[in-house]
Amino acid sequence: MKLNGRFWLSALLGSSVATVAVLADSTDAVKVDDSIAKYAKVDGVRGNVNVVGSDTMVNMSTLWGEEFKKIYPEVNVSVEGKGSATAPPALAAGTSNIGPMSRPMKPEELDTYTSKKGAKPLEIKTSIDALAVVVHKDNPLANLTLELVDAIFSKTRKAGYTEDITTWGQLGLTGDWANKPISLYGRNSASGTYGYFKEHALAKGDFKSSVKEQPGTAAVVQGVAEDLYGIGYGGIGYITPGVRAIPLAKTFSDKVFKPTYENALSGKYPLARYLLVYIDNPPGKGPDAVVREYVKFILSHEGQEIAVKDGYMPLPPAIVAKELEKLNK
Amino acid sequence: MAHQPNLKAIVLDRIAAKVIPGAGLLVVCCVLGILVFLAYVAIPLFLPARASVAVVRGDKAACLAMDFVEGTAEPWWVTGEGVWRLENGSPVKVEIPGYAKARPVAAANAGISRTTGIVFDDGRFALVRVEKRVDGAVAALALDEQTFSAVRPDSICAARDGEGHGKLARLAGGIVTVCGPAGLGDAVETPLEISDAIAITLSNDAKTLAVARNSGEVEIWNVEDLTETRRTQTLPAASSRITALAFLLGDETLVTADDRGAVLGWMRVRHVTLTNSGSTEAQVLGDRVPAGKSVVVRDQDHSKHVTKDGPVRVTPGGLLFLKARTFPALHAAATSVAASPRNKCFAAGDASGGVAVYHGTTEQRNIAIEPPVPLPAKRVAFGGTGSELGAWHDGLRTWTIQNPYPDVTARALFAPLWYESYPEPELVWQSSSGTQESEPKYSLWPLIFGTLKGTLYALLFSIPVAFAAAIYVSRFAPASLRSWVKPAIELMAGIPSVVVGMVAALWLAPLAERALCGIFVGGTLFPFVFAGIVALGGRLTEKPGARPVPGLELAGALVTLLATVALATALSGPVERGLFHGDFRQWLFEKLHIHYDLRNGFMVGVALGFAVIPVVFTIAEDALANVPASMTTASLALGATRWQTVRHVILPAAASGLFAASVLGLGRAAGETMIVVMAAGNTPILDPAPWNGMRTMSAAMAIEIPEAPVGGSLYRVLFLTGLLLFGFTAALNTVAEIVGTRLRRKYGRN
Repeated sequence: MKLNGRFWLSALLGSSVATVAVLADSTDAVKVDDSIAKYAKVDGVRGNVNVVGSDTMVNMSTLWGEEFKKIYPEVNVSVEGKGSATAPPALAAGTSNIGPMSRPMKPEELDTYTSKKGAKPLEIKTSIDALAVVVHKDNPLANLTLELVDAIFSKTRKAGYTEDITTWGQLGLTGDWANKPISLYGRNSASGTYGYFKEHALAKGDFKSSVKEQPGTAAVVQGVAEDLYGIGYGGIGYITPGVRAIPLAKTFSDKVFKPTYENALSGKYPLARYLLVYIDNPPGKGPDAVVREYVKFILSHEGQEIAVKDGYMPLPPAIVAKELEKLNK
Repeated sequence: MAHQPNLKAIVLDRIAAKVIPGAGLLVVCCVLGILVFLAYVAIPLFLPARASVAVVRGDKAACLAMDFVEGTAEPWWVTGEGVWRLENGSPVKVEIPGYAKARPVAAANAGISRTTGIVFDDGRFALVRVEKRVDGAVAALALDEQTFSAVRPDSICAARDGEGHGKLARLAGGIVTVCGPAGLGDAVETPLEISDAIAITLSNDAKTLAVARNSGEVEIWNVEDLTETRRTQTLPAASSRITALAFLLGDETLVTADDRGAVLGWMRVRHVTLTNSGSTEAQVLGDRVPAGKSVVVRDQDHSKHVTKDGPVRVTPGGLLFLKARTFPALHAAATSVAASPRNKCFAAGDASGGVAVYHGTTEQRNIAIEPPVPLPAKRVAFGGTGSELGAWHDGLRTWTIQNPYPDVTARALFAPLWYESYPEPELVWQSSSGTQESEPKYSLWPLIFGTLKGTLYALLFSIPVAFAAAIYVSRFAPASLRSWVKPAIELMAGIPSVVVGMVAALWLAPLAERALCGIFVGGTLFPFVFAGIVALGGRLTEKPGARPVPGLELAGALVTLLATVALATALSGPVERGLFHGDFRQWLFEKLHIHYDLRNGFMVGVALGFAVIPVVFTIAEDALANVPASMTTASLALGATRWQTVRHVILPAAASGLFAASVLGLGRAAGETMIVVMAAGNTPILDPAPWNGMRTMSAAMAIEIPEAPVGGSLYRVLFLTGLLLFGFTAALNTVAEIVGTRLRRKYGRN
């Protein structure tokens, strides 16, 4: 039986109040699991750590770099974050040795890298990010489904919603809000966030041309905080008091979930992703000592705490163990 | 003795005579160098694609399928005897572990999974991958084995689903059977209700099956769940028979090729169902819906054009394939079609032996390989990186193809293209995405349009202000005032544009939005206030023989401005409440369907105009001041007022200088980057309205060059954009220079 979207919408919004009330209890205080080992200093580590890549991860990378330098004062650390797409070319050209990316490398990026370096890079998971759909803090919208998010942001609406959503009334808001136009904010196309959102929220469709592309997630959040009728998306780490993250459901028939640690880990929150770093992994030799230690630091208790401090979510111990194993192969 | 200093002077003079033109020449060379470099990077976009023969080897065996060893350009192929590859130019058999005794009876490439599905004579079916291991040895790997009834099919098609399981459709005697896992992994075989099938293909995600029938129709089946297969669509019959078909990467486009060589692209396009519950025929966007009936039509925002309580309801109509692309025809009947695993390219072989590579988005034939032998090209296949192409005529043939920019053509850059998932052809700039399955959209019009729009609004704001200021400063202002006003305005040019952009985006834009009604009221009131002040001021100062009071005009202008602002502030509240229901922005949206965006053309006009004013002002002021005093004094002596002198003598005389000033301002505005990046919202839209934003060519370059893989399509397209912008500003500056020279000649000064 097919029901039309509007029906589901009202049903969803009706039931949402209760759901959100329940979910609101799961507090956002995230702790790094105590079984993740503290970082142990190794002798003889020197050299350069050049980090080029994701903008989403730039704050976190800077913090990691600073702490790492405190442990190894001889190591030079530089961090640059213009977008995930800048990571593979920098790694391939040798101008960087750490490539943070908020999405996995695309096959053609891997091709170019592999043809230059002769071997595939090593992909390490560093932390978990939930991509939040944010609205102004005074916006009464309770929740959304990915179909609706798609209909708001996409001109191709591949997730299947029929109507093009341009006003808040179409999302069930009433009163003053009913006729207010929706103002769209998004990331620039160099960012992994842009690509991730396009693939997972827009079902690989296209953004509307009216999405205002901002050069950083902070600018998106700033734009929405200034624009009462704005909506945008970005990493959960950038949320400020001026905006509110909307709980999401995959489809109209699913439950809505807030972007919390539990929901991201369990995969219930539909827009959660791993934040990655790529490093050189020459066959036979393995990663450089300094790079290896830097990655070990990221995967240590201290490194994971930095991720939490920057608003992201730490890896569970099982994944940390798996990632460390990759380094020792 | 007297010659000594002269000698020094002569030497210096000689050096200067060499160095100065040399430096000038160097500048010219640098500019030309930039031009050449831009062109050098952009030109490869338009070089034709090439195919060079890599391997040719005769083989009388019938090839069931061919593929390439993963990560290499080495071919491997399947015959009734087993799986083969080349080593030092001669075929060697590749053992598939567990299949030593089994003989392949049918095989097919399983799309982007980079595996080939093989059906063996004992009924087993496996997805086979041949790859080069780390130690250099080449080995075959059977990925997912299932057993079905041991039927010898005429042909098969295979795909790998999201869980990694193989799915297979086999064609035997016109009957199609879909085989694969269902439910908890049990293998099932589901025959479809078709008895005259001649060609089949599965989508890369193993969810859709396309079946070409002898009748000329193509049926689309949903085979996601093998216990519940259903026909979703029948593509209309053609007078010819479809002999080969394939889904392109992303599964949004189905390519069909027929026995006359015609190649068509069918795209999934969103449809809606219009249901008319009324008693008379209704019409929505030109689509007629008879009373009591429902029709399925292509979604063109129909839901916006029905009234909520009207008789017509709009419900989803699903994604249906629509004939959207026509490719250049093959020379003879199509025999085989294969899609590239990397982009929207596909290869087609025909009965005369020709092989062609097409690009799905641009409808271009990139490569046409003449028949190497007059025998049908029975199989065609792509390798893993999309640059290896293989075909089987009377043996193995492979080519290395160089087709790096199939997605950029003059048409893609400048004409509307019908992209996948779009309801109609459009001009779109959306250059990148997270996956290779999306088509990059490189239409330059939105960028060119954005540049023109930004420039236009900047000039609308800056030219009147700058000209008025120039006229005032050069002809009316007292010398004491002139001595500081001119440098002050010129100092504006020194403000970094990123600062202007930041102030405009973060401070002015939200302010303007809050004060939108005030700005509107102020704009409306200004002429009246101005007229009032002029009348008042005229009455006060109009005395026979009175000399102009220095600086009085400036005071008048300030009073006008302040009065307007004060009036607007005072009135905007009541006006907004009385006329616009308390919210001007909302009133605009509801009554005039104007969506006032925070990042908009008006804002950019002001910010960009602020950067342009000093340029225009300086040159305009020079031009006005350079009008010979003889002309002005003559005019004044003949009894003309100062304004009449300006209007009829100075302005015409300085017209070419003013023109040059505007043109230089235009060039400055067109090339400006940081202000538009920050304040324009970077929305690549084709809408000239001042209440929404734009993406200019310069902003697109600044934002997107960091993401563009060096040497890739986007990288080169951005350089092409740079070349166009360079050409545009160079042309403008040349015009300004020529006009300026004419001006100087005319008055013989400077």
